Amino acid sequence: MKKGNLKLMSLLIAGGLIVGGCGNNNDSKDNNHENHEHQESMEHDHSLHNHGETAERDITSNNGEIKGDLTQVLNHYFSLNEQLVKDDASSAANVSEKLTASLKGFTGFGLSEDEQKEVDEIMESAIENAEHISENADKIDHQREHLISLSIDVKDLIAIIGTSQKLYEDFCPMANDNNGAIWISNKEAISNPYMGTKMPTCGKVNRIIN
Amino acid sequence: MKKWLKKIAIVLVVILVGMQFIPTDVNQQEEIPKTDFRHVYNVPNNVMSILQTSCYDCHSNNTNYPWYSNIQPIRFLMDKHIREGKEELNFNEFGSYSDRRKKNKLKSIIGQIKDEEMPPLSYTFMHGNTHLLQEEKIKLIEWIINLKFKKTKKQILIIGAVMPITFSRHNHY
Repeated sequence: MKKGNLKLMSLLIAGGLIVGGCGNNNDSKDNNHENHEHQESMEHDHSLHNHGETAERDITSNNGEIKGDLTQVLNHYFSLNEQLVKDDASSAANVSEKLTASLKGFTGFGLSEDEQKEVDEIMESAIENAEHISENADKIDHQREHLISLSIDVKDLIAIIGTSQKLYEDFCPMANDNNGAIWISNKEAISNPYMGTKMPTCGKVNRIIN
Repeated sequence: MKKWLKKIAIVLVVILVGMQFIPTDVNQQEEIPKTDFRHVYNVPNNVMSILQTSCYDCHSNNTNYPWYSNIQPIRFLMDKHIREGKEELNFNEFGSYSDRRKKNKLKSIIGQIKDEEMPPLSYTFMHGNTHLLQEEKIKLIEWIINLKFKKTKKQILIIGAVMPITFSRHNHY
């Protein structure tokens, strides 16, 4: 009985946090804007936290040199995000299986020893994340949790390998339990895979990858 | 009709007895390897003991087998848990993971505990002492968060969402 109450309380409070962080009228664009201004003040925390959490690469470190073909990996990754925007966990799982295969099939070229080592580590992590997403067709929250790390993997992979596509690094301050999370997109318009149909346009472009 | 039932009973007994001869895995290792979690981070005793009681049985090379683990099909299920658990995360080998993977794992540990996915019900059901109490969850999550990044207001909120009563004073939203 007491335990049930505790659970209910935590749900209520967690719910309260989400609503509080997001504003109530999510469909209104103006409101979303206000929201982001509101979040802006905390932005500094995020960048700090992101750096502490991952050995992230500077995405501009690649001077236009292309060291492998990421097209297939990226296409599957984008399509995975599209499914998660639609809250479609089972399609996301299917796509992620293809993503896993394309990650496993990827080979870079002209990489230095250090770069190769880093690519191997990124691949190990990305494959693990992608496998989890495909194995959890019934748990969209779990899939999204792994998308957080997978997106960082993809971003770092692009930084080393390079791409000819124009891409966007997007950021949602509410994902990852309000700690914020990034994702990579090939469209300028925000389409948020973490929030799904609840708030598909929540987020902003962090930077453009050319 | 009665003959029928008797036949089924005999078949069941034969199967159960036969099962006891299924070969079993033994997941035991005395020595704690250098790559163990406790050598990677400075793990306080109270956190370490939680990990050892509730996680190490399936997530390390050393399982503390209870007496009924010698009975099939219990052992069969347990072996499966251990095989899968170690593949996912092995605390004994944590030090050999890349930094990227370590961070992923720490993050997943928080997520799994918070969502009550771990330890799994099918395991705590058989091994009652491994069930994580609310205060143990908080201790563990709080420690990992402190380890992962400087605690900001937001991270306190994560803990707040797990245990609103204790941490409600931090909820400024």
